[in-house]
Amino acid sequence: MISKTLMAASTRPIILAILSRGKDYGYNIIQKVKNISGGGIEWSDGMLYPVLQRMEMDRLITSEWIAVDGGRPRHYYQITKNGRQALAAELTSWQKILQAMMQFSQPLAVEE
Amino acid sequence: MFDLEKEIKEWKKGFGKYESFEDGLIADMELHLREANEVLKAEGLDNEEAFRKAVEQIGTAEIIAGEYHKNRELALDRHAPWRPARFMPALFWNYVKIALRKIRRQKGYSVINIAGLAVGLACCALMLLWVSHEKSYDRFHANRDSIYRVIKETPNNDKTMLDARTPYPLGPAIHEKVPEVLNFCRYQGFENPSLKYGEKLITLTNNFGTADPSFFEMFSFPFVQGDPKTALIESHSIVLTESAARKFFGKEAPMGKILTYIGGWGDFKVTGVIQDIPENSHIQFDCIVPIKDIAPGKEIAENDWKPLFFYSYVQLAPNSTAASAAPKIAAVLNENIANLKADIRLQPLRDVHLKSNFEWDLDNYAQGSQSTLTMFTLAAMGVLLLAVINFMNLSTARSANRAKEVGLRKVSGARRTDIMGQFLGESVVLAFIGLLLALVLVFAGLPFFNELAGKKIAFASLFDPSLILGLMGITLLTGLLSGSYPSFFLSAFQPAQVLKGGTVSGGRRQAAMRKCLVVFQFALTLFLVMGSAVVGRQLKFIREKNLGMDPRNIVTFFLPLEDDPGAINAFLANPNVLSVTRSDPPQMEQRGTPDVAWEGKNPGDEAQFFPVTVDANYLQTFRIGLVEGRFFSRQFPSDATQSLVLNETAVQRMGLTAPIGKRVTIAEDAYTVIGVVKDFHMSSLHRPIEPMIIRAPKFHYFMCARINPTNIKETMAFIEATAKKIEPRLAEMPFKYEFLDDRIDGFYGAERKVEAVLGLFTAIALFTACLGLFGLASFLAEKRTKEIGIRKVFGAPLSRLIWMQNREFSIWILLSGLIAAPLANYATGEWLRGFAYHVQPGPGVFLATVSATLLVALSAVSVQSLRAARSNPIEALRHE
Repeated sequence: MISKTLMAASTRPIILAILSRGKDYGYNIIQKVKNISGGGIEWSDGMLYPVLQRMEMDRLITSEWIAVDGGRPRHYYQITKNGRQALAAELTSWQKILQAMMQFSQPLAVEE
Repeated sequence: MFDLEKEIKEWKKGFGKYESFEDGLIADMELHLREANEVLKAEGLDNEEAFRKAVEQIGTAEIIAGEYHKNRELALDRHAPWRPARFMPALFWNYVKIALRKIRRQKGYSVINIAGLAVGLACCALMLLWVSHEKSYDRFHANRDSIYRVIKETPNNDKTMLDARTPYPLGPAIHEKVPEVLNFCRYQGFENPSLKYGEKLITLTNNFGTADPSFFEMFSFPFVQGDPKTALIESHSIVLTESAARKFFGKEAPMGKILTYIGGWGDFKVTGVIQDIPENSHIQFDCIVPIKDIAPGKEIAENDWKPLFFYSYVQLAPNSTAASAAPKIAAVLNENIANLKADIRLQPLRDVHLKSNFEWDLDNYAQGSQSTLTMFTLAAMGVLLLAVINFMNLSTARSANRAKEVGLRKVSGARRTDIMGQFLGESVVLAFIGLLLALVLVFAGLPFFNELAGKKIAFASLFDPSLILGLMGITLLTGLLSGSYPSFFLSAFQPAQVLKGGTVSGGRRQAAMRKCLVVFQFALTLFLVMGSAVVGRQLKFIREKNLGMDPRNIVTFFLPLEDDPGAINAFLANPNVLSVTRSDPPQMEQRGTPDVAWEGKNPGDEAQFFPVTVDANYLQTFRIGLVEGRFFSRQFPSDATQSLVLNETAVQRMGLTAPIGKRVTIAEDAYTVIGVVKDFHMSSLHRPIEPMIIRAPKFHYFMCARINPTNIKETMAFIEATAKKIEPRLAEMPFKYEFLDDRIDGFYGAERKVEAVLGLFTAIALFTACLGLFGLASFLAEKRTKEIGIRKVFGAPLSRLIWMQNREFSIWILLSGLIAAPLANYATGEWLRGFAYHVQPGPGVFLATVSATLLVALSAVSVQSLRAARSNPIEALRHE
């Protein structure tokens, strides 16, 4: 079970990572997260939208309504240049944290 | 039966309760729900189950709304939707539209505002042009910062006297002895020279310059032909300006050609041609020759330190200062002249044009005056300020018209700063429209101004980057200043109050402020009117003052002559020549001599006396009175060498009680006082009558004749023919003469300029102020329409109604007069102190100007008052 705090901290980088592969819409983003984490990361669906709105306000992503195949219109989100830079920065930070955690978690070498 | 659409509708209602859910956001949720619903159904859940699960996955509206709310708070903090964007305010075009609409709808007020600002800005533009022209004098010389003019400062009758002319040998002496002096150059110009090329005789309008060969090394006058380093080295060489060369030689090559100076200085060979001298040079000439060709042995001996005729310029070495060089130059001067205790001032080249208020200076070029410049700059700013105040008063007075607009903007979320920005922007736009109009005015008025100020300023020079930027800066400031008070005042409206229809413009504070502004405006205008009145009166006083002699119909001309009764009689043969005297004509410049001794002179007394040389006919010709003793006479041949006459001031200065028969020595020569004449003015009224020593030597350079004013042309032709008969050398040059009253008039050229320009500004100021008053009066009359209607119904007479409206304005103007009078009294007093003889502007002048201004202002106001008072009361009262 992932803690609430960690979940909150990881939302934005994950969304950015997904959008870095191409434009996408809300429901699909949620599905991708579920699938890739094997259900390990579970967001409350509704909470995604305020986050997307906030990211748009911060100019990390942009959005547009697109009608697909004459069907119902979908609200698509797309990463911006700012968003890509933010994603790169996030990745570096997460790697550093992970690296530190891994190193400290290895068993101490026993002196002979 | 489960109805999905109904359920979704119900579910959406749950979101609608929260204001942070905008329609678009709810649409996002709905789409998500439908998508999830379909996927779940595809996974095998039935309709209802799929719906319930999807709703559960989305989460509760309350929590999501909380998140949206956070975003919204943040956005509000960052940027309100109704606030203008950073670079192009969202409402910018709306503001422009509103401003243009206001201009169209209130044509009268817009005209007053824009015309006022345009006139004020045009005045400022003219002043900027003038100031920058005056300040540009002599800046074109490469050595401008190291060249100084040597000014001699000597004590004279308890004052110091400043003389820009220095002895001929001073230049070389200080070049040798003062290490700071890197180079020197002496210069003098002679007016209107006549030169001959072959048979072509031309009198040049500018000066015949004489200078040391170093002249073109120190000063930067670009050569078209010839070499600046050598042009003046050879004796009898001459350098011409391009236009002078064209006059003599046309298309011929000028170099090497010979010009003959008419007047005996011989032939000159052209060694160089320079570009025409720019107008902003204080040294002006058409041609220039080496100083040695006219000075030593001719006009002035090489080592004679006494005569003062030339101007000395020095170029100081790098790293040396005027302060250290000046005392050393003074020491050299004092060493060479016995009993002289002079100081030296080194006047920077850039100050020569504007800051040369010396007793003796170049008399053959138009000098600028710093104080006149300051005066007019202030006057121009005053006119602009009047326009700004008009703007403020009319905008606040008319604010009721805009109160609703302000109220609505505020209700729609505009903050006070937004409203202020809008009004400030409007006034800036108006100011810039005014600027465009001002440019047109300047273009049209510049020739007129040039004539008044005696300048040749080109309109194009206004587009010099620093000037046009300066002007735009002034315009921006004007716009901001004009808009400052209205925007502050209008933006303070309470929307609830104005939208309910409450009155806003009649606030007591605003009315008081308006009164203060009008009083200030009229105080400023009255100050200018009073100044103009005093200047006008002083000039009238000068024209009408009894000078102690009669300057009318006296003609003076150059005629070097030994004592020769035959010559005098030759002139008098014409009955239109009433009287002739060989004497110095009265002049602007007089030079005193301290070398005078008399019985009972205090040894420390350094009084200066002013020598005048005359002949026996002087008193009769000039109509000067004799106080006691006798005047010079042919019957006493010794008069030429042994007698002198004093004026009353000289007697007083010497402290003589019985002057006749007293011995007076000048340098080494002794004289006996034979008479005392009444004081008369030899120079301008700027100076007091100086103590004069009048002598009658045999030789004179000038002749003065009193002629009959009828038939002047024939008389002058006769005088010319006679003069040329007596002195054949004059025959080959054009005859030059001058009327004494013209010459005296010339003493006051600067004052007449002040009178003209100040008069112009005063008229503009008065017009602008009245324009504002007119606008204000029409507003107040409009506001009192109902009151006037009621009064009329109850039988108030027309005169009373007009007075009722005019009374307030009268009080304002009288109050302005009270403020302006002492200030104007002080300022004009300072100006008048420049005259030794001047009017005493009593309260009469001030009362008269206040009355006149009151009359003008009330006639502007009365147009409106009359209209209001004559309007039909039914029209006024039917409004409701």
